[in-house]
Amino acid sequence: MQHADGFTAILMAAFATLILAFLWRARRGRVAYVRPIPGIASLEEAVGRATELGRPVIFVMGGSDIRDIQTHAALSVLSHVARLAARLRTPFLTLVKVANVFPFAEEVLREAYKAEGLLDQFSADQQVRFLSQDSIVYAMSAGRTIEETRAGCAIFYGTFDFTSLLMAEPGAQMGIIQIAGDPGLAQIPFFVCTCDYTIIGEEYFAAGAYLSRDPTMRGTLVSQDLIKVLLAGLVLLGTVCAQFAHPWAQAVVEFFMRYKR
Amino acid sequence: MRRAVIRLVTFVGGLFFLLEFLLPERAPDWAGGFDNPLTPHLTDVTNFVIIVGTMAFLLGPINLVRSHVSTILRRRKGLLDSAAFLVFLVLGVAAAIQHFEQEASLLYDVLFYGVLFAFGASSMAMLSFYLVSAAYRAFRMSSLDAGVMMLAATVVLLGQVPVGDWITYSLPEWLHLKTWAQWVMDVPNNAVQRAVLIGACGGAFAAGLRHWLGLGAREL
Repeated sequence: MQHADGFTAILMAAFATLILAFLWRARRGRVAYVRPIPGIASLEEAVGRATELGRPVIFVMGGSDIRDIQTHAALSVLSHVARLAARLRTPFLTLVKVANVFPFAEEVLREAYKAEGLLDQFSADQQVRFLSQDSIVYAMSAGRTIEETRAGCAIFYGTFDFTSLLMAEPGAQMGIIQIAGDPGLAQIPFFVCTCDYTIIGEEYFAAGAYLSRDPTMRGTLVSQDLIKVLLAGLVLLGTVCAQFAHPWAQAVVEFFMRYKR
Repeated sequence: MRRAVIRLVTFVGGLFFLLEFLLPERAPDWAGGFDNPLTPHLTDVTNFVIIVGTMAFLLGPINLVRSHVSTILRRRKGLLDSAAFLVFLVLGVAAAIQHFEQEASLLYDVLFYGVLFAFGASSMAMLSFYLVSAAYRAFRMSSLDAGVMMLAATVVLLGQVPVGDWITYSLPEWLHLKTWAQWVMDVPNNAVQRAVLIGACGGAFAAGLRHWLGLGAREL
């Protein structure tokens, strides 16, 4: 089994302390400014456009299962978009690839409609669809659903594989607003080509807190930036040390090389 | 009450995995030299999580069947597609059972190798057309960023194919397209990929902590 060594444990403790410190700071009313994230801010624009057109909003979940944090981040965004669509009385459809995510997606949608006082308008059978665990079948079905329902906007959120283009291209050819979020790197170029906005890297995980409108949650986003600064500082330290032949500098480089995968 | 239970279970489960990871496999001698007390239970807990996840496995296909049966009963658009789905679902299950019981199964071969594989290959063929269409959109120089991307893509594409070598073979090696393509891949591309991954790791850590402490999972 894999266990943390001292350095990893110290880093984890430092990150956790930073996050909790900013949470505590935000609860005391000192909320930092959070820069607008265009991809996330445009979710409202996309749902609004679909409402104006009288067409459905399609939310396509990624392929990670419920044990992955990526799925939970996607469910946070799903909840926000579903509430928005319910409020505007816009038809909403969620497509699910992984069977164990299905009950969670259904529950999130039910809660979203309930929160808007429209539980009677929620139809689990019609609004949450499991398509297939097979990547190609899922992608083809998602693309076809976007075409057939003449979607007003499509949101792809989660971990996607080589089939991302198959599901995003039909919407791009229809000219609808498309927003994609993927924490990985491999599919980003395809989403950049086919979607209006692409949410990448830490923005993907920040979306839930950003959309929550809770100043406390938004406060923790500052700590994410500080974690990035801390890690960038370590990269810089390793780079500078690698330029010198002094035993201390070499010892630092060797120490960091142990963590290079 | 329900939310409190969900948060409690999440917290206890997360605490188990966190402590199992943070505690060393064997404590140093000065600390007693005992083995990690949680590691022996890791497999059992992981299996439990997998079993609970498997219980949800049937929910997906059940939703599919309910959705398509509803389309047929209410005679909605796509009635024939739904009927075809149900017929092939029954045939697929029958073929899988037959294949499980006997090695050679004509029904299985026809459905999986004759139909499913062919459909998969056709779909992948479509991907190449979509690639061209998406690349055309990406290569339209609508801004400075798009121009830089197009230049980098052109260098990388030409540097990977023999014609790129042919164009620049008479120039000094540092001017070869292959050299420039490799530089684009190794330096700017690699640096940006690592930067995005570092940001994503920090984000995943923060999101994980929020969910573990029940601060962010208010939608569930």
